[in-house]
Amino acid sequence: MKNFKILLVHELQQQSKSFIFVLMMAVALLTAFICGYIQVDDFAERQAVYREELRTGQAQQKEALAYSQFAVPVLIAPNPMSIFYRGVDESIGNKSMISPVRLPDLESTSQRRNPFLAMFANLDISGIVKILSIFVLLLAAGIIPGERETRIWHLIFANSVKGFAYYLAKFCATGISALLSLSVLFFVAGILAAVHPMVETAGAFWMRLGLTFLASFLYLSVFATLGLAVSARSQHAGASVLWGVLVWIGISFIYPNLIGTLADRPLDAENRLAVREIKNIEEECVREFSSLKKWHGLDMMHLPFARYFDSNIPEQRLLTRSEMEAVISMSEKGVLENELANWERLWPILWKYQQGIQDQKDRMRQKQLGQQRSHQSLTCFLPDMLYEQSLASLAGTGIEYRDEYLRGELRRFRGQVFDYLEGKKAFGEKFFTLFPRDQWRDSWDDYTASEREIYGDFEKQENYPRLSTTDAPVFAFAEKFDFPAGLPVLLGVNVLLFVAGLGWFQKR
Amino acid sequence: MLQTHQLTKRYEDNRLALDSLNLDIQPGRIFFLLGANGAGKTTTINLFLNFITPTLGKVSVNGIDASAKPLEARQHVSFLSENVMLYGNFTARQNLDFFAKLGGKTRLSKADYYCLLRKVGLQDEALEKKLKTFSKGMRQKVGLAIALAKDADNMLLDEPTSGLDPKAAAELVNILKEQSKAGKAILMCTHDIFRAKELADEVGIMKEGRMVKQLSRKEFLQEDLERIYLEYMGQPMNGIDKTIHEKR
Ligand SMILES: Nc1ncnc2c1ncn2[C@@H]1O[C@H](COP(=O)(O)OP(=O)(O)OP(=O)(O)O)[C@@H](O)[C@H]1O
Ligand SMILES: [Mg+2]
Repeated sequence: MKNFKILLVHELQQQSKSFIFVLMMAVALLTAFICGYIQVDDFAERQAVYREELRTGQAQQKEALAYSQFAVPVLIAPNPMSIFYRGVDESIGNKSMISPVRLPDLESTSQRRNPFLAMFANLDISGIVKILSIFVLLLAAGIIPGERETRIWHLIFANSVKGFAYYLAKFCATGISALLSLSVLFFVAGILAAVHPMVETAGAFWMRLGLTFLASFLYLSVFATLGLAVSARSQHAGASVLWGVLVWIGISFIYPNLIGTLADRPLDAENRLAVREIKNIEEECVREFSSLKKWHGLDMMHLPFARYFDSNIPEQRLLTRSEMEAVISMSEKGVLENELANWERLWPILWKYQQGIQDQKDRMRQKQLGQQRSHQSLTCFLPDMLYEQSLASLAGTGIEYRDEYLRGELRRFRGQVFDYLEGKKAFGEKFFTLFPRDQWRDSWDDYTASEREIYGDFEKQENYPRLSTTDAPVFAFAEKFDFPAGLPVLLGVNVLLFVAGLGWFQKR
Repeated sequence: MLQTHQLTKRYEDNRLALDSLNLDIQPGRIFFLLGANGAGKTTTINLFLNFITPTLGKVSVNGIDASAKPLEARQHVSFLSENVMLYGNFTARQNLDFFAKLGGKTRLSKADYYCLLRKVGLQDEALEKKLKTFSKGMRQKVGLAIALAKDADNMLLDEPTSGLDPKAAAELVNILKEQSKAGKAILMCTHDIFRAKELADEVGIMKEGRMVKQLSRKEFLQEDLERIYLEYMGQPMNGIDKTIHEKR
């Protein structure tokens, strides 16, 4: 192994003088500053939006006049790891409102304001690592045939140099070069993130960042072993580099895109139909709930009760309020009692209806995810996929986490909110008014002046009492940490390619 | 000590490049292998270094089977290749440093390297110049310095004088004399009959993979080596066979 050290040091010197190495370092340094700055800046903006949304959400909750207006804001704080791997941090949504009248869905909080950023938004640090991979491949691909061509080989192997030591030294040198460029990249981006006041870098952040660095290194080292393997098979440096580029294009672009289009197409059309259908049903449902809250001018002191239900539930069709008063000559209180009774009978039906939609949505989601998984299984050995998978687990910005886990959590939390509302008897008259039921009078004229002052002010909402929401449930979700399963697989791919390349090399 | 026994090499394309070669070069002896282009000289050297494996026969260095234990055998061989190519981005000294270390000489200082490079006739201003600016002869000199730096028991030199200016070639003769005095066994493949007469303890003439004539120093000093060489080169192979039989 004495020779190994000599060969390694030499190869490092050799590479450090090569144009590709210098270019790689320059790209790493430059993009680290540009993309690091853009991503950190964007993160800070998202963080600011998040805090603002949190404030308004809480304020809105305090403003609720009755339980039909009650809503718990759910906001997912932007993850500082998204600077390194953006994933679906925002595209899937990071905001939701849990309320009795609508199904929870994830929506996005912020629109990107910076057009320049929109262009580079997806170029996170992992994107740069992917760019660096071509340099690593080129660096590795030229080494062996270069020395074979110039017959420097003969001078080297005229000494007692083992082929393994030679090959290992070439690999390690390329690995160290890759490590250097990665260090520059992560160091700059890490510093930019750490010094920014909006980015909170706790211990877990550094641990995740460290593992991200490791994953990035294993990813780049795949290209080192790949380049060397190509290198070991080729006679000429030019041919080897060309092959390297072709292989890179193949595994980074052509194959994954091909699989993507082939696997997605048949299911996509089906999905789009299902999505539209569900959207329609959901909108209907929301319309019905909102019709419950429609102001109709007769009752000055309460939120209006249910009057119309859509033809979707025809047996629930009711008399209009004026019909009740004119035809059956009910008192105002009578009308209210009547509507309340109807509402109490109806809301469980609506609730079930909502639940059904939720189930349908979940089934569709599952289908989509299943499709994604089958897509993944066809590309799971590709370094790009393994890398993204590892980063997604580390950054918590992967689709599995965002979609499955978070939606599951939202559902669970919605259950909690309903329990809370039931505990508050919120689906009774409190759904519409805070005026106690036992004090309802037959006619508006029967109320005292001060009562009118308070409850008649519904429209202006100044004197009207507010719901007490201090004990409302608050959404709290634990940062999930999945072990990045792609990491050991990446390591395996490295070993496999190294052994294969060494085998080819030794044959010559 | 460099030895071969019935050494035969047939390449993948079925060309018989070396046919039953017997060589025995003892310590302190200089053996000149003469022969036209394509005679099999480089093939012989490559077999000693196990860059190619013999089809038949044995090849050994200091008694170590070079094809069975190449790593061990190579420790005892200094090698100067036919057309020396080195790292263009490195200086002469850096190149020498790398190969000397590979050859097991890890304790040489900068001054030692300079001394070696000067010894093979490299100008002072070239010592720290990048190799890519070097002429063929200058590269050849660095190659020789590499072989000398390793300081192994045996030397395999493939056309060491090609590209050297007369002064450098004369210096090479002195260096090789000194090396042989130090007990090195030297195999030198060359077209340079003049140098052979000056230096060789023994001369072998090769033609199409076969050793057609082997002469000791005494023998070739008595006769005209140049004439013998040309005679053998001019004859067709079957004619040579006859001559060999006649001589026996
Ligand atoms: N790798 C190879 N594959 C096939 N044939 C080869 C190979 N290397 C050499 N040969 C053939 O073997 C024969 C001997 O070649 P070799 O290089 O040993 O000649 P040489 O004596 O060194 O010639 P020169 O004086 O030109 O250097 C030649 O005919 C050559 O064409
Ligand atoms: Mg030759």
